[in-house]
Amino acid sequence: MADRPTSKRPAPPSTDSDGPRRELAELRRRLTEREHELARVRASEEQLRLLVERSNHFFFVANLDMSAIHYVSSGYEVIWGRSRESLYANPVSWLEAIHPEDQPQIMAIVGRRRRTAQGLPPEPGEVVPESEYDDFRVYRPDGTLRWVRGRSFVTPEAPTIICGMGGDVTELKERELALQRDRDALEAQAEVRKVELEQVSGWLVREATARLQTEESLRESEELYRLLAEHSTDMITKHNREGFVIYASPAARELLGFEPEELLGRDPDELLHPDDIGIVRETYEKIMAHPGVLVVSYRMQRKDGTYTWLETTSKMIHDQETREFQNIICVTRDVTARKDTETRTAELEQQLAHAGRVSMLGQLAAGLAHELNQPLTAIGNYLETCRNLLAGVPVPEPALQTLVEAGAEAQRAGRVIHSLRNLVRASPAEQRLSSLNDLVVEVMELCAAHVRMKEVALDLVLDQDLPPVLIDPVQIQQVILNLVQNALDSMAGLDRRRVLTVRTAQIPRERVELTVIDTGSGYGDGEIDELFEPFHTTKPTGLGIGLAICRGIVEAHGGVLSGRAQSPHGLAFSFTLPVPGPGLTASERVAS
Amino acid sequence: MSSPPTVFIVDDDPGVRNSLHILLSSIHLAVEGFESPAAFLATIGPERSGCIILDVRMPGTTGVELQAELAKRGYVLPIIFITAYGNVPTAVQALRAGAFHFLEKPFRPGDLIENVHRALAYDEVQRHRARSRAAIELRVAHLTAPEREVAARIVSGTPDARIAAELEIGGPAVEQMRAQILAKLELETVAELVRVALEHGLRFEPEVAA
Repeated sequence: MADRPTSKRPAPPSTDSDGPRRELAELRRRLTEREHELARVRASEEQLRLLVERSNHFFFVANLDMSAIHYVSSGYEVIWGRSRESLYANPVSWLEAIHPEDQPQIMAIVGRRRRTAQGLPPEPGEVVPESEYDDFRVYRPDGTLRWVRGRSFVTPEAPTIICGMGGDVTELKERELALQRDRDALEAQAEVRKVELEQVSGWLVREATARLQTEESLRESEELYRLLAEHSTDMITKHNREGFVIYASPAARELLGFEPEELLGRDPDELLHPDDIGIVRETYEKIMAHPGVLVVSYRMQRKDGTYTWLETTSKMIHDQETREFQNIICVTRDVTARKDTETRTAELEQQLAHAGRVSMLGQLAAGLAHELNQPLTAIGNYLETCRNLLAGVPVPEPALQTLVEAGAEAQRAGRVIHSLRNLVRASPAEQRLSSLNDLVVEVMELCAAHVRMKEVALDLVLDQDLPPVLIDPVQIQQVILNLVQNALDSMAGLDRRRVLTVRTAQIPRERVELTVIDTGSGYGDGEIDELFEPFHTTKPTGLGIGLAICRGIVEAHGGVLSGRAQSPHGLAFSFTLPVPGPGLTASERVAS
Repeated sequence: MSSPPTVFIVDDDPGVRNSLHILLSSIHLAVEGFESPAAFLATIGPERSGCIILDVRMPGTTGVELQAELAKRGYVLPIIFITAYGNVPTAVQALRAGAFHFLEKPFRPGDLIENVHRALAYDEVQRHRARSRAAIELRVAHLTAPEREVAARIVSGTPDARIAAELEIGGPAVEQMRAQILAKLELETVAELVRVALEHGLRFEPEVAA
């Protein structure tokens, strides 16, 4: 297939009519022309051959399905590393050397060229390569890989053959790939950077938002703290390192009587109660030594000079970053009321403890009274028996008198026990709604014999509309009995008319009153108060605690017991008791 | 009535009981001591005279409960309560239920002895009165119906002439019946009859009055 260049056909012979000479000349001229032409063509062909053969590029001519290679230039041998003869012998060996990944693409292009030349439409799913040139890789027998760029075409002048050419573009391709790698790397870097940027920007946004929020919340906190400080009933103060006031909240007015401004720059020590300076200084030193919250109670002088109990909670404030001392914050409240309450509570506790002791003592006394009264009775009886047995026997009078004294002492012991039992029962135990009139009648029944014996006239004036009272009836009866017996005793042995008046009545402010009046010897008004003193007595055998116990019982019932002199003779003792309000049940009253 | 009037002591405390026993014995009174109301009830019948010294608070039956039980059984012995617990309501309750006296321990022995004597005297009077009443009622039972009619009118102070008129009998008949009535009732005078009738609340009307 060598040397078969494409060339124009010779022009057809002229049909000139000049004769034979003209014909001969013409023939010579034509021959000459042909020789020239031939020479020119030969030269041109040689040039082309040299060009093709010396080129690093390859050229080929093959039939349409590339089943036969008509011509291939020497460039094939350079690029493929294989001889042209091997290609003529095996026309598909060029394709077999192509990288398997690139073979389908090359086959598709060859198939396309063929079908285009034959006027066939593209096959379904056929990929028509876009570019005029195609790049593919060739494995050379030494194992090296070359990138080849080539093109193929079918010309209308020779529609049965396919021509093509191409060259080694490995260096170019490598540069391109390197460029591509660089670009990819750059893009990857760019992508990483972009993500980084996004992260950074996200962080920045969050940071910015957070800072804004922090600032906002700081402003809110500040506002809140300011509001708290300005409106708190607790006084809030800031102090510098020396303890001087650098801020004082308006509660200073209420607490100390000072305007907040008046406290600025002052040393609070000036206002401290001298006894409390020590503990406050101690607290201040502790606060400066180690951070924490400390509470101290002390007395401070108000502007008006009076002292008030305060309680201060203090904390040293550091700068959050530099840890430097900033100031001391103090919250101070007035605890005078609480101190009072504490005192009151302590008193109540004492009273309760007392009540407990009294209750216990009451039971003890009751038990003791019973146990002691029995032997005392026996002692009295035995002494009396002794006296009886000695009757009619000559016995020295002092011996008999001694027996009498011993008996009197046993009696006194009995009275002490009796009084003790009453004394410890001076609190209402069992409260019941009771009629004061009924209690009076019962007591007067007990005293009826006594009243008759002493020839006393009894004047009983009972208010029949008297409302019931909530009381321990036993205790109130003891009070009535005591008052009546005192009245009877006071009238014993008097020559004038002896009248005992017992009167019940309603008095204002929801109270009832019982009054016992005698016509006895009486006392001056000033002496009456003494009668209520424990162990004050006017009777030879009295203990002097009857009225004290009575007053205790009445007061325990919410009432008042008082005495006053009567004109011209005698005394009147009255006690009042509260009437329970409507709807108040006995149990509620007891519970309160 | 063979037993002399006796002071019965009911108290669970042996010291009190024994000292009371010896004290009252020393003034020549008959004394019997009991450590519980049950022991007393088991021993003593209603025929026994005297008085009771009764402790208010004892284990088991209290003094006030024994008082109620004695009243139920018809015992008439006067009771002197003694108590080691001064307790006004108990005293009131006991006195209302007919107690003779109420003493708080430790009492003066003299006070107790005085009250024992009074109680014994009271019991004696009560028993004498009861005996006379029983005797007079026995005699009244022997009166005939007409005699009862006349006796009732004599006691209510009706003059003889009016009795005769009301009963449609003669004056001499009234006088005769009056003598019979006084004889049957073993009385001397009409005045005596009136006193006895009032004292014992005697009723002469026939018991079955149709």
